[in-house]
Amino acid sequence: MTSEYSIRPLIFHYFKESLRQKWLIIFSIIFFFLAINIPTLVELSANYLPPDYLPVYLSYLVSLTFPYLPLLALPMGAISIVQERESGTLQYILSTRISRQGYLFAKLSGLTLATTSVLIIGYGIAAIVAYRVSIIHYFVMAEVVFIALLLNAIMLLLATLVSILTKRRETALGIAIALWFLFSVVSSLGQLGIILNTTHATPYMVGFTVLDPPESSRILSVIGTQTEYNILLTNPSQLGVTGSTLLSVFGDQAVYILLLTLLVWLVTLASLCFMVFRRQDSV
Amino acid sequence: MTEILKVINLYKSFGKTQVLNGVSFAVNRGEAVLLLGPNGAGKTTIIKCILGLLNYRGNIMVDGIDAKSKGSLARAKIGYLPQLSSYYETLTVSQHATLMASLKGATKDEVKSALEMAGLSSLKDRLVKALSSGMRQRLGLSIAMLGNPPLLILDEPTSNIDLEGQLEFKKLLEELKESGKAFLISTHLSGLDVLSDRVMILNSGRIVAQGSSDEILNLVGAKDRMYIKIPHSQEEKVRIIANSFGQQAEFKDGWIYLTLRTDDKARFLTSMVQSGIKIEDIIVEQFSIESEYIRIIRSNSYDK
Repeated sequence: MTSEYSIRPLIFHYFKESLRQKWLIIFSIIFFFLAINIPTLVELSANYLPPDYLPVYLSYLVSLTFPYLPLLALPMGAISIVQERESGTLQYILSTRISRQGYLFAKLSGLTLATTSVLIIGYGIAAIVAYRVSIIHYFVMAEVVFIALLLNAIMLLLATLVSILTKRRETALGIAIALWFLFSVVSSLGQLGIILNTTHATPYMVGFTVLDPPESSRILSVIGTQTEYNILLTNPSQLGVTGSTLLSVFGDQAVYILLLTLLVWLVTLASLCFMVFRRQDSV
Repeated sequence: MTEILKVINLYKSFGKTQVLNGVSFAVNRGEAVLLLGPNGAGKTTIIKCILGLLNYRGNIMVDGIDAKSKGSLARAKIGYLPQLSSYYETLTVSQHATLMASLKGATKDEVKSALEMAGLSSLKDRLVKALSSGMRQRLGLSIAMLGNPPLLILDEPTSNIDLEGQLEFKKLLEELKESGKAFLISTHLSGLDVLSDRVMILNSGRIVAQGSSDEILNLVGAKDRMYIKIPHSQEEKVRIIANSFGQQAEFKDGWIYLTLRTDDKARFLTSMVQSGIKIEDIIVEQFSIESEYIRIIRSNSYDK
């Protein structure tokens, strides 16, 4: 009689495999330079920044980095399952005692751990080196990192769903890049079009924003970088049209609505991933 | 219970293509069953259904456990060697075997002894991607053995390895067979029928023949070819004997050529000796399941 099987080594294996991926390494380097924000670093060294620069510059950091965050999770998640299906390792792993849910959990855990490490290290170094965040402001920074991780998890699940549903690696990668393009570029153009062409644009604007996790996360983080909700007075440009509209419609409740929206994305995508993967032919 | 695997009325389709059409068979404990059939016959699909990799209609029981509702428990009874030995190439032999062992609930000692059995102990620190095809198959077999499963399922085990690797692999299988494991081996042409207790021939998603190699050959009336060298002067005597066996003997350069049923060979030779014919040389070309299976799959069911 054999003993109980364990998926911990598989999680650790996928974590290591993810860290070895060239895309993750390239993204980490680019993300590091984005996060440390060299111009700010120069200004800080030359003492050109005002004493209360931190909330403003943290919101700059958010607006600068958040649109690129999906580029970490989307390609990595998109190839995760389909690559194993193509190489045959998926059927090999699933021929053991591990369940499909166990496998998917291990895969997602490994990917999440690897991408989370990159984001925490990137923002962590930015906080310590570039922004010289004091202990008091660590909470604000932690909020930004938390929302970034939430966005990363959503994008990872979305990409994994794509990977589950596609049969070829190239197709999955293509869809992943198209999704990033849709969230980052097309949605902004769409919003702009609505503002310019629709008389009563607010409901469309709200709908567009909650259907766009990167934009929702960005607005949520920008609000989070402000100690008080006077952002519309102090730093409205970082909120953008969507953020300003949401705040004017929902007021203080906007934070909770955005957070709830992101959590709904997370739970829905996770449920879909596990449900579809359990029911489909694995190979 | 003597059956380690029971497949009942298995149906599987991909879109509109029906791949399996009510396949039923059983594998007994300690029995080696060869699943023979052309590419696309449905051999790999049957294996994938047994392993729970594909959804299917029908019932599959592994050691009395329903493979559909209790897949994890059923798979614990199976060691699987896939058609293309697909591994995590960046791991070493030992790391890969240890990872698979954790998913099969096997211990590190079992990993060590499985690698020893497959003759891979000295290569345990070598990267998997640096292994030859034969070594990869041996690694696959050692991993299949982890957890001591009573049933081994091998999908086209010799299709990707060279002749030397095939011979080594067959030797390894013989050793495992002696240890009492049951085997289900799928192949299109491999020479593995010598290891099997029973052969099932699959065509277009149906089992068209099954039984021992000899039984199937007898059912299809398979005959052996004989080449016998005799003095030229005795050709007429041989022609008469051949006619009495219902055969036409052909002569060329002092050699007689004729085909005979396997169980008629000895009687034919005895008749020649008793008639005073001097046999100078003899060559017998035996028919095998492999040489006959194309004829079998083109004909009606020979299922016993």
